[in-house]
This record gives sequence, structure tokens and C-alpha cells, in this order.
Amino acid sequence: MNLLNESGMRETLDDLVINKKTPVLGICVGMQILAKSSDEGSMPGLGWIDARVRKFPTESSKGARSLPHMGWNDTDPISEASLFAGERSDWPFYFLHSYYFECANEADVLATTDYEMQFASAVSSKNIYGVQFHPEKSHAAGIQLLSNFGGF
Amino acid sequence: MLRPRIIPSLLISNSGLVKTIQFKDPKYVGDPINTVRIFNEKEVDELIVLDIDATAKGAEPNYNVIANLAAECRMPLCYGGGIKTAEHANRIIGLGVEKISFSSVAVENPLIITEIAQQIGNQSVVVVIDVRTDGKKGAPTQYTHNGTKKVAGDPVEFAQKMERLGAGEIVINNITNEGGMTGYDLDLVKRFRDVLNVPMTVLGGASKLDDLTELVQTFGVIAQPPEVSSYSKAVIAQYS
Repeated sequence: MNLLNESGMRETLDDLVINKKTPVLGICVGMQILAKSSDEGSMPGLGWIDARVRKFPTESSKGARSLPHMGWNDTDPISEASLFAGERSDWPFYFLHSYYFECANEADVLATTDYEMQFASAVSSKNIYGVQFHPEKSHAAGIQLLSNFGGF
Repeated sequence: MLRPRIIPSLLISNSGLVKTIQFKDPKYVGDPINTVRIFNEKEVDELIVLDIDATAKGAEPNYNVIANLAAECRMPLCYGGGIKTAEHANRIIGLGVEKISFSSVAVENPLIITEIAQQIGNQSVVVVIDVRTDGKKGAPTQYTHNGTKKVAGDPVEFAQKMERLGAGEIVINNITNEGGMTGYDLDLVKRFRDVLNVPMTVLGGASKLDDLTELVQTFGVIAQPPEVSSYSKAVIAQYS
């Protein structure tokens, strides 16, 4: 966040996203900085979505949870999510992270993923979108999602 | 549900793709970029690319080759070979590579794993442990420099140490089975799986789909599978 704040881009970014409503997509840690705060650091995030980023517990109901959550996992989008439009029966994506995005408002969650607990793998609030996975590294599902976003 | 990962592992020597058996006799099998395109079409889960010359020759990574590979890859890419410093690692991550693998440098200077993990994140730090299993009672012995330098100590303890120091993934590369197409050494995998919490990838020995199935069924998804090739038999014949 320090790097972003000091880059000189922050004011323009806020203006484009908040005032001009330009669609924006945050990927992986790019999604996480959309939140207000994170367990991973002390700096506030962009705060564009009312959420905090938390570390996965190392224990789950099934025993130790291996971290990072790394590999291909399924996402379960809500039916009206336009980011997930298209004729696909499943949406597998590549994940690589140890922290997850916890939305204050359930309505901001676009898709969930199961890693021995359900977490928000895609979120949106107005023109702001975030995905925890890497669509740019997820073959056909990723191309579909990115082209959906490109159409916004 | 987390899915098993099937990962072709490509070896680069003199800018070409090569195939070895027990780390020896590299044979040219094709152009790396063309091969990445084939694996894009096959939708493989991930790719590992190892430059087998860099460390042996004491050279820095070839950043041009890495940049071209990363630009072509539509799946996650793990690169290894010749990375000695945090600066090298940062530069490679900047080229669009998801993970970096370390081998000899992790043996020579274990604390660099912590330093690099703090900069690029644990999830991107992979430690490859090359072992031979043809010694007494199948106990693994660790090697570096393409299987030419023996490392003292227990490789399983080394793996645990790497996890403690910040490695986000451990790759066990079985030299004895490499290129032999004899199936995985499940006893070897078990030694590591029993004590590690981070994801593990196993290389060396796969020849057919049943080998992959057996590995996943024995160790579950988190004992992430395997090596070398994807579903096409032609590809298996060429690269496994």
C-alpha cells in the first residue's frame, strides 16, 4: 500500500474508480487491497469494498489446513453474476494465497470456493470487482471471465 | 474441492528443451516456446521449467528466455535454475512468473529462503530436493548440481527445515526413477508427506495415467501429483 500511495497514482485511481465509475478488477492481492484492512499488514487498504482480509486458520474441522491454498479449485458463482456469464458447466481457477477476503455485506459476494471452509473467491460492489484466483493463469475459464469483464 | 495438479516438468539446456534419464545424457526434444503452446492447448495445471545449465555453469538465469516463456504461458509457471539472490528472484517474479524454485542455493545458504519468502511471499518459494534412493534400505540421499554433488544429512529433515524457513512448496525429484518410467516411489513420498504441511509435488517415474491415480489415491489431493506429462500419449513418450 505504501508503494501505491507513494506512486502518485492514488488520487487519479480514486477519481477514476469512485467518481467516474470506471470498472476495475483486482486479482489475488489486487483483490485484497480493495478491502479496508488486512491481517497481513497494518496499513489500511483502498477501502473500496467494505471487507477485511484475514489469514486462513491453520486448523480446520478436518485437521490441519495446508497453507498456502494453492492449486486448481472450483468456484460457485451466484446465478446473476455477469462476471461469470457464458456457457460453462464449471469454473475452475488457479489459486495461490494464504489470506481470504471477508465481506461485511453478503450481497458483495459473487462466488464462493471451498477450502475446508467457504470463502469469497469473487466479489463486487458497483463498478469494483475482485477475484482471489488468477484468471490470467486459468486457461479457458480465465479467458471467459476476463472477456466478460472487458465487456463492462 | 482442491483438484490434483498434473505438472509437466520441462528441462532447458542451451536454450533448447531436453530430456534426461537419471539426470544424464540430455537429448534435444524441441523448442521450449512451442512446447508451452502445446501445453496451453492441453490445459495442463501448471508448468515447471528448469534450466539445468545455469547452476552447473554458475550462470545467472536467462531472463530473456524466462520472459518469453511467461508471456506465452496461460497456466502458472514455476522457474528454477541459477537463482542465487533475492534480486534475481524479484526480477523473475517481475517477468510474470508465479513461483521460483531453489535447489543448490537452499543447501548452501538456507537463510536466503527466508529472505526471499519475505520479499516475494511464501507461496512463490519452491524448494526442489533431488534425491537418490538406491542406497541402503531405500533411504533417500540428497544431491545438487544435476545429481553430481552429494549433500550430507537427511533430506526429510532438510525439507522440514525449508518449510520452517519459509518455503511454500516442496518438490521431491527422484533421480533414481527419473526418465525410467517405472512408476513413483510411494515409500519415498510417504517419508516426506508424513512430516510436511506445505503442498508437495512429486517428480520422477511416471509413465502412465495409473501412476498418477495411484499417487493421488494414496496421498490425497494435497500430496499434489506429478511430473512430466499430460494426457496425450505422444507427449508422455516425448517428455516423461
